[in-house]
Amino acid sequence: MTDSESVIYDVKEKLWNGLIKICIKLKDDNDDKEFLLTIHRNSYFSLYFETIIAYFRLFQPAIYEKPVWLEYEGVPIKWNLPVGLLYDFLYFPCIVASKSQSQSQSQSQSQSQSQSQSQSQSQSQSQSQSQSQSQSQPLPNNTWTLYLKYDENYPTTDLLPFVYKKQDRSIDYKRFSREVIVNQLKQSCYVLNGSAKPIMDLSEIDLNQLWNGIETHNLMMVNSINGKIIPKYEYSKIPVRILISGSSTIVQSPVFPNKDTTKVTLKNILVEQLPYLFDNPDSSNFATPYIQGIAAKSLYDVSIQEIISCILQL
Amino acid sequence: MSTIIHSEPDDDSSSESSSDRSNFIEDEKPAVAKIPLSTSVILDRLSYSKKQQLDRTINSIRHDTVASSESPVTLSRSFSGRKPISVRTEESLPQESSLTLTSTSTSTSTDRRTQILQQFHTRQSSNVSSETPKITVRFVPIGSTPIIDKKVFTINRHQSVATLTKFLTKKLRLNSVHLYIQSSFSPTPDENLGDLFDSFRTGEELIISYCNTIAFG
Repeated sequence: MTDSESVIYDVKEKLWNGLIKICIKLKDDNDDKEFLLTIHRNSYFSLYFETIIAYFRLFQPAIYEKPVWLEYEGVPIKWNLPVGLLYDFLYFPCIVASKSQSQSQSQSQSQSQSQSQSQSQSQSQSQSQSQSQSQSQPLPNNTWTLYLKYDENYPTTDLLPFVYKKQDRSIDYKRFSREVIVNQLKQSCYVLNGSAKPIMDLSEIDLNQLWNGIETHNLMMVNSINGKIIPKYEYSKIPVRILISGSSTIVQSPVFPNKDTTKVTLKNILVEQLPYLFDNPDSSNFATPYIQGIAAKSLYDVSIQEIISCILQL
Repeated sequence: MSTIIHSEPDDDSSSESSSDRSNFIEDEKPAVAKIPLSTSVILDRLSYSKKQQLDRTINSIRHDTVASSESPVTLSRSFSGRKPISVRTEESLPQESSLTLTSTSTSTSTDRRTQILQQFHTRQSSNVSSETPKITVRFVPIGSTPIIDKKVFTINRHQSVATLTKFLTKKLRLNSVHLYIQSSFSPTPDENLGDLFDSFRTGEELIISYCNTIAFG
């Protein structure tokens, strides 16, 4: 293994192992009940609902039969997006802001995150590791506090409602999560290959293994199936989504890896899609792109294919 | 006079529920964006110019067709859908030149601004024709799902998948309907139809299969 290969391997490992500290609170008569957990950046909240409910059920038994959801400052959390993406998108701006305030300089107060569509295949690096400065000065609060809700008003306009129930009338969170997340994978598979055939052709056993790998965060299991989905040589198109903090706007546009013979870089895409933010007259391009929680300004001139293959092929 | 049962839709003179009659699917109101308080506090602290950059960006994405029709500059209108990034740049302003522009800071900021503006309009015109902010969708039933009497509809680009689901369940009087694109995956309800069209269209149509049960697990 050459030096550069081992560096890339190191990055991939960090992406896969990235964790986020979560504190889940449930409103209770006397005082709020808390449940602390760490979740992998590339995992999903809905996979943890059963564990969370099993705990809070001790205090409020009614929670067992009603669909739950999480909220951050009144904003319902889309459980079908990876935890790391949600953290970067919803919570990280306020960490950056308070940090830059304490350093009495405001460099990047708002950022946009980009995240590959093939979310469960994509891995993330923990924020504190990617920010070298943060080690000298600890962030105000790395733990993301969310509220658990379960009343009758499930926010169907913001979130996908869980449709399946188990025999004991509790909600089958995992079954529906699987359905939604595998569909998202199919979508990105279609973009990568120009057809969803590779994933549609997977055997039931392979598909189960892929899902189990995602659910249990098992790199071996995910990788063995991933190899069958991700094109070996040339990507047809690159699945890219750009989310902008402070809005619900999502840019999702077909991105080709090459333009004629030159490779398309990250900067090319950002300038193309968001000219007001990334191609500005007064050179006040204040927005910072984040990919998998990594501030990606230094990757502007790297080809998008290279970036995504680091994320996809662990 | 005999009444024709399967008549073509009348003109819109007497149609209140036009979504049931015409081939255009009515817009649903977009959900109000929910933003965490802490984020909006940060946004409020941004300087005016930065805030404007952000607003323009968001507006240009959400209502890109509206934005371009408001622009005083006349656009060259060649409809080609939102072109993929690698092809789009061949048109009036190649990517290389836009990058070199960034480095030539000698030009005054107003000059630069107009350049940006022009560039942006070029982008707009090549992205989305301001004449056709609508896309065409074709519904294809799967299995024993009821057939829809008209199959091809137009709908605004900025509408989401949820609008189609609502439309179909109402029209076919189904309790639930599952939508599939390219006979393979089911989009999430919040996805933008224009974006799906750009990535997954067949010819000039987005083919949407629908089923009252799960078709592709």
